[in-house]
Amino acid sequence: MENKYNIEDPERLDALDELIVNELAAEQRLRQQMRSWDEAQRRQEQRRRTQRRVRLVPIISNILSVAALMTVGFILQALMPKLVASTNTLPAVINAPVGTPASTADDAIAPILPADSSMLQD
Amino acid sequence: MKKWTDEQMVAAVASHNEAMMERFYRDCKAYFRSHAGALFVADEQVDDLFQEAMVHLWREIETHRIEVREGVLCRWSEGQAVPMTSSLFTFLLAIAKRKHWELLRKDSRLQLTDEANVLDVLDRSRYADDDEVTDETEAREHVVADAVLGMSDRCRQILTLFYYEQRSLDEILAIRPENTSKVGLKTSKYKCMQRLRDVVKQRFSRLHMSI
Repeated sequence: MENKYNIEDPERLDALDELIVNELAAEQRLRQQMRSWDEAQRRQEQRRRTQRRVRLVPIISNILSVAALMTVGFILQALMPKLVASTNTLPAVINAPVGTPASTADDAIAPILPADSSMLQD
Repeated sequence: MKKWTDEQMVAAVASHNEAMMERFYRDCKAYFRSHAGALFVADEQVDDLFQEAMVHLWREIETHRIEVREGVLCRWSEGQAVPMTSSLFTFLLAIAKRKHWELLRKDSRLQLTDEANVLDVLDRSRYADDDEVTDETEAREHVVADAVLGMSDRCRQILTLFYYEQRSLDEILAIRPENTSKVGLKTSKYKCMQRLRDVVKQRFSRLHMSI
């Protein structure tokens, strides 16, 4: 075997070790670089998600407000006939036959007309 | 969406253009993730395999194993620069596939027969005995890079912690609980380094190179 391939002498072994260590170092620098790029990308995605959330909040809150109003409207619409039926007295007054004495309608109207009805004459 | 050519990207990596390098990395990662299913890789393996494959590809570019010659993307094979027949993305997937198979081989006794289509993309006979290496410095780097890339994870970690991070054996013991004694760790470090040296020596010898 040629002597130049016999690298058991310390000097050549050191040269080989140096090559190996340099390669290890190059590889490690690359891995560290890749990790930092991954980290940068993660932070970028996190920022994008946060910005998306911030933009969506007013939109969602508007939608919820509209939905809430619509819900209240539907509920009122559903309850309105019952409310009207329980509180409304006007139909009873309107439907009262002519000439009925001291109807609540007359009492309601009377104060409007003055005691002296001369104003009504020509 | 890829907005660069392979030739442009190889030139950018070789000249350490950081912005382009980051772009290359992200595009490769996106491509790899969308195609990793074709490798039958479990989700938890995707990132590890990608990193290993990316390191391999990157080192090939940095050591000029893959380079642009007269506007054409070439790869050193059997002592000469041969135009590449696949894109960098395809090459990356092929590296990952081979590493995946190596992992499977270690873990099981599966007979993997369908290597031909992958190894068509990768060069099988990089180190033909009778070919002369034209650029010895770069070839030396290729040999060492290949040997280091082919190391086991255990050896890589021990040697990196000791030689690159320059940690003491005691610190490494604290980091690696699987090593139970300092003497055992020292022996492991020595064996890992020796194995690397043997692999590199063999390849140098086959290529009629000296250190």
